[in-house]
Amino acid sequence: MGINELLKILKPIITENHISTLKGKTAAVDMMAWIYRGVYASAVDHGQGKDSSLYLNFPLKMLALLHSYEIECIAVFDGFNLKAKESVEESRNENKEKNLELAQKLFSEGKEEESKKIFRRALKIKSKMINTLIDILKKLNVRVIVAPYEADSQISFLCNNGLADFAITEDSDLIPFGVNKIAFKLHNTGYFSYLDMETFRNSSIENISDPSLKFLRKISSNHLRLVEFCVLLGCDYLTSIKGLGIKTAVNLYETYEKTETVLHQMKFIEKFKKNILMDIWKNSRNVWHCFSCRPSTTQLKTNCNH
Amino acid sequence: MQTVYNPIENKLQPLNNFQIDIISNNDKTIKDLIMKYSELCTKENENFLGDTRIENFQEFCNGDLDVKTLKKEKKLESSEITEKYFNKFRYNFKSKIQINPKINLEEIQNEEFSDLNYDISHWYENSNENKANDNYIQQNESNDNHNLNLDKKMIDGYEIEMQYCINESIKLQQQKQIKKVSFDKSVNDELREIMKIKESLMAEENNGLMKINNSNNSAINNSKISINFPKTPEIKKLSTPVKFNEFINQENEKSTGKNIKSLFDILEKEKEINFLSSNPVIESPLK
Repeated sequence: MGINELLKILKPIITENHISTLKGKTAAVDMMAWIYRGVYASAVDHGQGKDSSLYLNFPLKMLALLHSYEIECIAVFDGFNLKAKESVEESRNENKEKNLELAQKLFSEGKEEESKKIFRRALKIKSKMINTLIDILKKLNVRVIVAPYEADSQISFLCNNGLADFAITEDSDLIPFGVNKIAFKLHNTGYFSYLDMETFRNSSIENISDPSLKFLRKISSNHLRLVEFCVLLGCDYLTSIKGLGIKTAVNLYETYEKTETVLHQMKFIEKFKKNILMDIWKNSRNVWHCFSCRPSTTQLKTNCNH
Repeated sequence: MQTVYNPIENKLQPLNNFQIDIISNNDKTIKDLIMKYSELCTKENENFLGDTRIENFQEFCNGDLDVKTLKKEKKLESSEITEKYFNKFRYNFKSKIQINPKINLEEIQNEEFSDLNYDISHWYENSNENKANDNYIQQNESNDNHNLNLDKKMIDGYEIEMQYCINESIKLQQQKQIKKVSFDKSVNDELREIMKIKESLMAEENNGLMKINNSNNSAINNSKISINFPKTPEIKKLSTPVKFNEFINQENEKSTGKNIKSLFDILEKEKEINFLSSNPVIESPLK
């Protein structure tokens, strides 16, 4: 689901671009996001347990679009569930079950339009869908990698080791993973939102007026601090701390600099006092340290054949 | 533990560099945690997958196993569905459509009639390539009873380019760089360009040899020697204004006309343009 409000801060540096500008490059694609967008089209059918293969259309169409611009794709799928995300996954599943029940009820009452919205919140990706798409892609000679765990970490590995030039995804999780060139919201006309963290890191701080963006620019060269800030904003590994928005987080960091000091000071702030998530956050932060990606010491070859 | 698959060395490996982590972290808890995983991810434990051990991880990561059961027998949609989508898209993955939009905004600002300032000559080239693909598919499908509508596929193949053109047109309109939509000049120029390429290709196809008697060259006439030299491509003269529809109708009778008409049909559909411009971005279901 991404880092809370991170893309909102980065909006001024996200540019509208067209994939023709990336002709000849290699993209690591988060396929799970595209399967979701595919299933979205037939949410009602899926919600009612009817078989629909429409979900295959969107990811295949988008890959064909990239192929037409001579962009080589590595389709990356999620593998096993990560233990650190177990609780988040459970609560998501519970919410989906609730939404499914509600949507079915509304549908039986004849409120079709209303139920459609709720059905979309109850979407689940089945292993059958992933298997089928993988099979078709392999037949079409598209390179496929099923990540041992999360597609995000696999994509960051591919991008940070020179196996892919840029990533295509739908959320901001790849930013703390250290991916520099990310394409968001690719439209079927070829337009997308493009974030280049490398350019951002090399840009002049003086030219940035927005205080939150200025702060991000400052910490962007320090990967660990960027990761800590992202976790503090709220991510998949930890639900966001109530009352802590971007502005507050930036102000705290500007005042106290180190994360440890920020956390210590937060204990004395009234609205965070009763927040039981503080200790959980500390643990999650430790885990996140292990997740954060750094390029390997040896550069890998770029001719990836498998 | 974030484990990733290294497709070059065909092995599983941790995402991060343990040595750097151990040096850079002062926290003893983190160091211990890193050490623990570092020990687990050794050569003896190469099948280690975080909390799971999997013997055939290479097959798994290459998508040869069921993502849930890890068995070779995958749970799939019916073979009809798989075939249907494979046939629908294999055309797109076989052909290499080259898009080469030559959009120079400065030129557009300077020219009065420049709303279609794209180099569309490659469409003709691609149409030949695509025809070859069509023939290939047709031959194969007559064998395996695939009933494909080739005309439909041809249109599908160009759908991407057409959408791109529509979108560019919208973009330019939005930027208020086009005050007046007129096809007369720019289209005729582009069609001339297509004709030019077509003629030259035809000349090449016919082996480009043409027998010419030069009556003014008496020496040649006397010796009864005929000289063969390549036919020069002729540009169809369009000195008198030609109405757009008439021109398109003429072109329709020719092989390339189909594609040209399809393009302009779409460009003329203002309704579609309006629809697209009002709905330019699909909202992500994940948001």
